[in-house]
Amino acid sequence: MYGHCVSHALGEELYRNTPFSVSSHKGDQKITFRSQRGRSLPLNIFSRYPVRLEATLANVQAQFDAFHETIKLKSFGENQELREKRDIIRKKLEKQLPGVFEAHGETCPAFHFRDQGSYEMHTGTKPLDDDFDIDQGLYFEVSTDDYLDPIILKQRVHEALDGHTKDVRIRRPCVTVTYQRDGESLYHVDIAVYSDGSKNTDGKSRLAKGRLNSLMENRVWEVSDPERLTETIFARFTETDRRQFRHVVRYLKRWRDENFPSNGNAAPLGIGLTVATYDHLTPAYIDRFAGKTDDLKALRSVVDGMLGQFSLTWGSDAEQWVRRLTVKLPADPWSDLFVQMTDTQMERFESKLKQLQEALDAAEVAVDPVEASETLRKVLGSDFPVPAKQETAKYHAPAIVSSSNSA
Amino acid sequence: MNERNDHEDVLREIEVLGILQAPRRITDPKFGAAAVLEGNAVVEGRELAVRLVLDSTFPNQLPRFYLVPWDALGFIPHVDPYGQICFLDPEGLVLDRRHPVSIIQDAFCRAMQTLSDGVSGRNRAEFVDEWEVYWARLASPSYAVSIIDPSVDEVQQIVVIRQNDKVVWVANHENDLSAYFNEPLPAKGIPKQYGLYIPLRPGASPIPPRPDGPFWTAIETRDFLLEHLSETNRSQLYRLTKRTPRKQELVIVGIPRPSGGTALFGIGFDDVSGPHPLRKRGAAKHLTPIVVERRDRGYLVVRGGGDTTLGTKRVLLVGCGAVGGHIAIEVARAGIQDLTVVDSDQLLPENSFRHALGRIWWSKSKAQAIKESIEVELPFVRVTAIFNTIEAALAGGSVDLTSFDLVVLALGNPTVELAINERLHAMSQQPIALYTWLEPLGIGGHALLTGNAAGGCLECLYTAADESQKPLLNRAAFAGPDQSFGRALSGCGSLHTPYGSMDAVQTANMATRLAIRALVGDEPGNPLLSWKGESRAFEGAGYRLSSRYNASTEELWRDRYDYRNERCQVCGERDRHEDGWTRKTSVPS
Repeated sequence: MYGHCVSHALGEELYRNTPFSVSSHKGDQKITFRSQRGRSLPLNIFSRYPVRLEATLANVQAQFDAFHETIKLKSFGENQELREKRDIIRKKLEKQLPGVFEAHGETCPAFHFRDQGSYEMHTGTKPLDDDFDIDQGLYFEVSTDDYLDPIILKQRVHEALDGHTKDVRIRRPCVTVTYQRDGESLYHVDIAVYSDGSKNTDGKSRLAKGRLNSLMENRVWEVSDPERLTETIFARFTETDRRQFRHVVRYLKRWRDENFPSNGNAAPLGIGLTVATYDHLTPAYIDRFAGKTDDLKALRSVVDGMLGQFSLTWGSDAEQWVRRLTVKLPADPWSDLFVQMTDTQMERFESKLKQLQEALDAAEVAVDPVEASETLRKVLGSDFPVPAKQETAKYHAPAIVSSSNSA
Repeated sequence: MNERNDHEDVLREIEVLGILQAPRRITDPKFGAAAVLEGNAVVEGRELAVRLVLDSTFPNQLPRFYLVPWDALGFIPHVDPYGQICFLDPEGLVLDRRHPVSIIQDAFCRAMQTLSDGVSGRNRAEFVDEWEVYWARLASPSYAVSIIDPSVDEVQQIVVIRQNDKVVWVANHENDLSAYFNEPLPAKGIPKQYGLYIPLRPGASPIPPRPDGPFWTAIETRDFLLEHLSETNRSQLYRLTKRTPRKQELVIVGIPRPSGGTALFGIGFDDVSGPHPLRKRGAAKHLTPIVVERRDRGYLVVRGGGDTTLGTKRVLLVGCGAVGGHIAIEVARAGIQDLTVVDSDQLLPENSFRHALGRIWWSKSKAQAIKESIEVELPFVRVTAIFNTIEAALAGGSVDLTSFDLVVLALGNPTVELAINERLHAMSQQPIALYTWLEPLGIGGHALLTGNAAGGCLECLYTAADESQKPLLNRAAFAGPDQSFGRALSGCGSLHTPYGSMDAVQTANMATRLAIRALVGDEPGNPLLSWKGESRAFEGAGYRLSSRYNASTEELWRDRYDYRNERCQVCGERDRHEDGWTRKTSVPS
């Protein structure tokens, strides 16, 4: 704050007219007097006055905090609206599934639901187009041997929900129900269908993968452990660091929404960005003791980390060497989360990441928070706030502050 | 349920089991309603009559065993003149009340073992451990209250002050009496006599006089003492008994107990004639055993769980509010015996429900009330009360910061505390200082230690970590910045911050523990400790929490030294000047 009352000019003038050499140390100014004997004496002539010789760097943590508040979606536990939407599907399935199985001359196996996905990890981000997605795990208590073809169970689910909305589709990893209003999708629910681990000899749950018309070799039961994934990711961080982890994941997901088309595989998957953050985040604090985070620096650590992991790979699409980023799931099935992106999409991913890195660099060295915020807004989107001019132009810090102390 | 019938069943089973040979029921009015079974048992080859007594409270209490007659095995430890065998310390036992017969079997084994140890002399040293108990069983004892420090190992003169015919006070010095009562001695002094304190050499294992026999004569007493005195103390005793004795003389004897500590007992000599009765040819017509009730510092403080090494430390407490009031009482209980309290407020009725003191102290100054309440309750603790602000007390010279080992600030006023912090850091020999405060509506409390090691002080907390942060905000706070918490119950004059007594007690408890750890040298650094409470009431009232509140208890503990701030103008500067930051790294992390 008070840094802004001193201009560069004053600093330079002091520098010219005094026998001091000025050096920067962790943003603070240390003034060293070179005495004739050549010894350095630490002098702190300004210790009584909160004056700095250099204008200080802008701090945009307040803007990051506000941005996070704007873009975050709460978990099922905290968000009643999401919970209600989820429960509509759950009730529908509970009501319809027994009849569907019966119609096929089968007994409906026992099943249960589990929340999964970003809301469960507290990394849910508000979508730009209001197309919320809700992830549900539907665990049938059957072994994969009971249903050798995983598509059968997905078909039963599809059948149970068919007509529930206009658009119920079997996709490779899940069954998707889309709720629409005036032709535009309002939100969709992705139901991932599992064979529950309790019924499989190795105790592992498996996800039913494949489409209706997939070849038999593309219809697979894939070992999958979303709960374990959440635990692994959270175990890496302490409680305070975990909050920053969630912030950074949300910034990256919003950046993704702002910078990539939403159709197909053009945009990197949210889970990919989440795991990349898990891989590369170095928690950063302005004041760790007081819990004051430095999200700019933390985001930068992840972006740097991702860019550093792009490597030359023989691209099968264009039959040439291409640069690709591989991010492996740190749990079953240990797959590459960006494998679906084409080489061209990957190229765009890298160049967009570089743009983000440049913006973060520029914001980090900016002196004016307005300028820093405007730079970040260009890459993170219009929800990133820019402070009004006068907000940053305080000429002295408050001298009377209320405290929460008593005894 | 008929208790008596239950015991009948138990006794029948005992009879069948043959634990006691030739069992027979006894009706003895001495045992009231208890069920009694007598039988024979063999101890070290000798057949004895033993009684099992089951009180109506059995099996929630141990059964009793009696030896008949009590000295059937001679005078042995753990058998009282009624014959009761003390085979187990009943404190802290868990009895299997669903198996009363098993309890009796186990107890019987222990009782017989006790007798066996007594006959064989294996537990002879336990006479010394239990010396005071045996002494009290002697015929027609008189009593003395002692504040003698029994840790001295040299025979020395003591003062004897007779309160009435029966009770006397004994002390190393009359000033100790003044300290005990927290009162100055009367100007004209108190009528006193002199006696002797005689510590026996370690390892002495004498046998006390039999409770049913005649008490020692002067010659027996002298022989007893000389036998168990060290060479040096024999000559010291000789020197100190040269003076002409009074008609009444008194000695207090200390026996080092094999299990630790010292047992004290006294002997009174009446109608003394000739030289001192402990010298050759000295005589006294009548000797009385004196039972000593201990009230010395070491005994009282250690029995209370305190630390006697704190007795030499001087503590200044600034602020006797809800937190400070409890700290004052707890540091005194921990063993601090020199306490100065400063507070400029009076204790008002509305303080009662969150202050350590209540109604009877209303309208007294808080400092004076704390002084009186501590001194009335705790012997030896001297409290100086200053009814003033700390600034005025410092300016007027009634408080000299250099004379304290520890300064505790519990004002709830950061501005004044910051000023004192700076002043303390400017001192060449700064005392340890501890700042403590709590936050509204139960969200937590804090205690910051400084001056115990290099680096870290109150100013660090109020110094922003960089220019982008606001100054003057407490970095440790659990409440978010820029909120006001004062609540007026009845207008502006009675503004108070909402918190309850338990918040104050918890904060005071944490602060006192930290202070004591620092004083005894168990704390290597200058930590900031925080306890974090529930936030429901706080958030329910519409307040915001700080980022720091989100930290887990483990993280708060992990980061307890990390509040130190290189930009701090108080300790940062001082440490730079002293040895250029290097000492900062010497503080443990």
